[in-house]
Amino acid sequence: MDSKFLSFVWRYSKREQIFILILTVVSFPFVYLSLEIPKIIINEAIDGSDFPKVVLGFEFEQIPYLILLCFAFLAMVVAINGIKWLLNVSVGMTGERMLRRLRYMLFERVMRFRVARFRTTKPGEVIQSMLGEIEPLGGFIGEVVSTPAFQGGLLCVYMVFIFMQHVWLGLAAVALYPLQAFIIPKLQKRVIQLNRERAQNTRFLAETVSESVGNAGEIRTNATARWHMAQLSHRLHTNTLIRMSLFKRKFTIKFINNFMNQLTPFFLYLLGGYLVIRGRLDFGALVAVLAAYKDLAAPWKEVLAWYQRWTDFNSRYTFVIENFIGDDVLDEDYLQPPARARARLEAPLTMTSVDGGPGSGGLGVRHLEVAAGETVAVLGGENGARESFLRLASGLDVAASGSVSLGGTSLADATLPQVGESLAYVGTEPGMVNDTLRVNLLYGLLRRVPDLAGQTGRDAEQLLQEAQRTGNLAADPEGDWIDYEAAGVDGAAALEERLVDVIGRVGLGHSTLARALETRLTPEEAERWTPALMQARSALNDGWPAEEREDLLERWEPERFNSNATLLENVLFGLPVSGGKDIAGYAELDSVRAVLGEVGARPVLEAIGLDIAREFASLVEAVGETSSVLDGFAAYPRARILAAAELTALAVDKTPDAMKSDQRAMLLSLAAVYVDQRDRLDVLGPARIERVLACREKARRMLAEREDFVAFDEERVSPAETVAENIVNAKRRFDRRAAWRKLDERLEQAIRTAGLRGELMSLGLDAPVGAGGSALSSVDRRRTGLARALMKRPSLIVLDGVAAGPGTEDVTLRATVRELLPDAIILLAAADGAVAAEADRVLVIGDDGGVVEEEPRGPERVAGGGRA
Amino acid sequence: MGISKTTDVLREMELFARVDDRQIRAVAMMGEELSFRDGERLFEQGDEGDAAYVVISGAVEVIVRVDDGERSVATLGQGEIFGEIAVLCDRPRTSAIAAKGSLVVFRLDRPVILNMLREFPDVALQMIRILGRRLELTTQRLARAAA
Repeated sequence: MDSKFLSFVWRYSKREQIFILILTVVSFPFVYLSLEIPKIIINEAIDGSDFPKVVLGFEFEQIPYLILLCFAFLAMVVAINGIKWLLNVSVGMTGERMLRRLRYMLFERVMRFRVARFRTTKPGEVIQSMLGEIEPLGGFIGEVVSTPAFQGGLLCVYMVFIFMQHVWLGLAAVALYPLQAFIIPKLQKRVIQLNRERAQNTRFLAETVSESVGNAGEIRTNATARWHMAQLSHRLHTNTLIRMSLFKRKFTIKFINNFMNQLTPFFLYLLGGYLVIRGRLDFGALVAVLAAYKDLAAPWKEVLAWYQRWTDFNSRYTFVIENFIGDDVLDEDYLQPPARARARLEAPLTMTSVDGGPGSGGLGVRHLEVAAGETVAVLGGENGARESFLRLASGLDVAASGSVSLGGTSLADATLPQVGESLAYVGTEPGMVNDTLRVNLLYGLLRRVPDLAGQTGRDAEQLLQEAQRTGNLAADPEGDWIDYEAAGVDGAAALEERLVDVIGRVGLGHSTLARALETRLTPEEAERWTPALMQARSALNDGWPAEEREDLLERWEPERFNSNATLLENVLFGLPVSGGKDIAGYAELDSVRAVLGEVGARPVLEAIGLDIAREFASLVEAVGETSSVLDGFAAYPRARILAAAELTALAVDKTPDAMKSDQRAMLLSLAAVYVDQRDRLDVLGPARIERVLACREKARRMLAEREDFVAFDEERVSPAETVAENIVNAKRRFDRRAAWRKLDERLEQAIRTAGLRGELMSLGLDAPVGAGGSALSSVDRRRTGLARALMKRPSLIVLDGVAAGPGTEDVTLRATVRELLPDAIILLAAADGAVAAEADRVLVIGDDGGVVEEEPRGPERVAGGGRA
Repeated sequence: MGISKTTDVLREMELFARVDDRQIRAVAMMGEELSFRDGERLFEQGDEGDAAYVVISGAVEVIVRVDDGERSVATLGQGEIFGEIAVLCDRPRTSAIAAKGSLVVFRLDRPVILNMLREFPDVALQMIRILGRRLELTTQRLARAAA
């Protein structure tokens, strides 16, 4: 990577810079003419006498000559601005592409860091370096050549023009430039230093914020929020001090520049006035010189500003690059090695004279060899030696000395494709990407780079073109990245089958199906899924005695109030197909509000809403505004409860009719999400239920023909409800929550009967897992990590804290791993001796880090060099 | 059944004897109402103690394991609380509970109970009194048995 900013810019953008330079040069004659023509207009067209004038063989009287010159001036203005437009676009595009290239190059280097370097690399600092610190570089790169060329050129043109009028005037105009050129760099030096300090402090700041957000749990349990706030405050204070010093320096430079620039007209007026009075300079020339000087100040300022940015960005570039270079950045071949260095590594695992080095708990292995298909349990080494041993064996760390190899290839020299294909490390907190569960499970197979080259379509072509112009990977991020061969299958269908099988075996099947059942389909998907889900609905109800069904579910009947459904559902007897993500969201839709108004449901809902608000007001009075009791309502967040309580205080003794429209809207929202059986607030009497049912009758008639609402008695999938709700097509009874398990079992049976399980599993696999896998339980995250490793069929798998216990579930998991990977080496961090006894071999790591193999014949020392 | 009915039942309980009506109503809002059919188990002996229950209507049987199976050792009716010791002491259930006939209970989850004790010190004090009295009774029984 270029260590100098200029060489980086020149290497990757010389063509663009030359083009910009040519454009700049082309503009100069036009600029010169735009200065010359006004002078001719004044001296020859307005003040002249020798008419007609001959231009290109044509004769012109005074007025036509004036018009001709004015249009010529206009043409110059148009030409100059046209060139400027082209120049600005080229500058902007070049800068943006170079910024993209630089960011990509930095990220690519991060990907080549040795794992050990990540231990000392702070994510906040890397992010700040890659995004914030180099951002201004983008704007500057495009003008690295153009600004000095254009502004410097302009400066020269103006100066030549002034010198052409009179040498002394020229000298007066540039008299102070040498002084500025001497002082500014001196002052700028300290500014550069301060900028580096500011950037360093901003990195610390980013890291402080990142660390605080990442440790939210620790902050809460240790009540250290104020300590973290003080740390941040200290960083902010340092930042303020640096910025204050920067401001002082910058504005001093600005003051000097401004002062010197305005000192020059003093000389021009004095000298120019003298020369005109003495008749040694004509008046038009003095006016033109003054105009030219006015224009001269701007490019001079630009040149000075460019110089300031140039020195600043040179230093900034070096400062950023320093963060991404070093001996622990692997060669480029590591990511994309030649074919010979891609061959999969196979057993045996060999460790010879290994010393884990500092922080490894004194780990030392004299010699160890593990053959294909062996399961090795590792015990002891709680001081960190066991973790080190497992990380070395899986290629995550490199030993301080000695050799760790797989199939004769040292893991320290193995390329990324080799490590990725041959080794797997399954820990208790596997890394998760913020994508679907499927992507996370197949993460170990995302190795085939889908080429953009063959793709058609404007987006693909542009993507490819830009990637090539900026040295980025020309791959389709949405393409098929799966290495089917590594998965041992011949295509997508076989892979899906294997994936479903694997997740079922590691215990992820049930939760994946549950996730699918909780998914809401899009209106387009709903249409496609309708026949299948209707089939599942029939399968669920077939042969299910009504009495048992009614015990768990409250069915939708047109003439009966459903006390396990929301009031909104009760009025509409259906839901809109789009526009909201929950009942509260649907209640806010204009289309829904319009229906509620037309069927006359607003008064009764507002009255119910007012009673709910009063209940909440009474609750807030009883427990206080800060009570955690207010967080216990499924459909009413704390803020909503407090707002409702406040509303009743503001509108004492008022009926909804007398309230403002926003207050009435809030009452309506409170009522819309109310479920009598769940919320039990005693706000529904028989009269109100009767009114709700009367409104429902009107709503049913009104919505019968509308496609944008799905009624509960329609044979159509409602996108407003989850997949499970669509199959059940009734409301679960809240008072029978303890028996819902029976319903779930029947539901799963119905899904199997309807042949929907596979499709639903696919749907569950496509559900997002959230940032860091936050939508999954910690158990499911661990299982995802295990399934990911199994899918790629490594030669060696490390199970560190996963499937390591004596329980039946873990025993089954271990058997599954062996069954799916019959030839792989399994290294297991066993929970205890009983678990270890199941393995083919047992390694015990002592407190001193020495590794001893225990065999039936008695302890046999394999490592440790004197450490018993 | 709504919170008014639950409030009525709670008001009659010794645990809430010193708590005003508004606060009892707040407690009634903090839990959920569940219904069970005759013979259905609310929990089994050895289960995690994750909630306490108050009988709103109907009755429950307290069942313990014995050598030759299970034995019903008590019946609890309306207004009686059960499961609170396991919640407070973080211990497994010492008995199973089954519905005796049609049953409606008011269920308070562990976090809700802990919140309740924090929010309403009178309830906490009353609970200490009740537990103290139970301990005293047990001590007296042991003393009698020893004599």
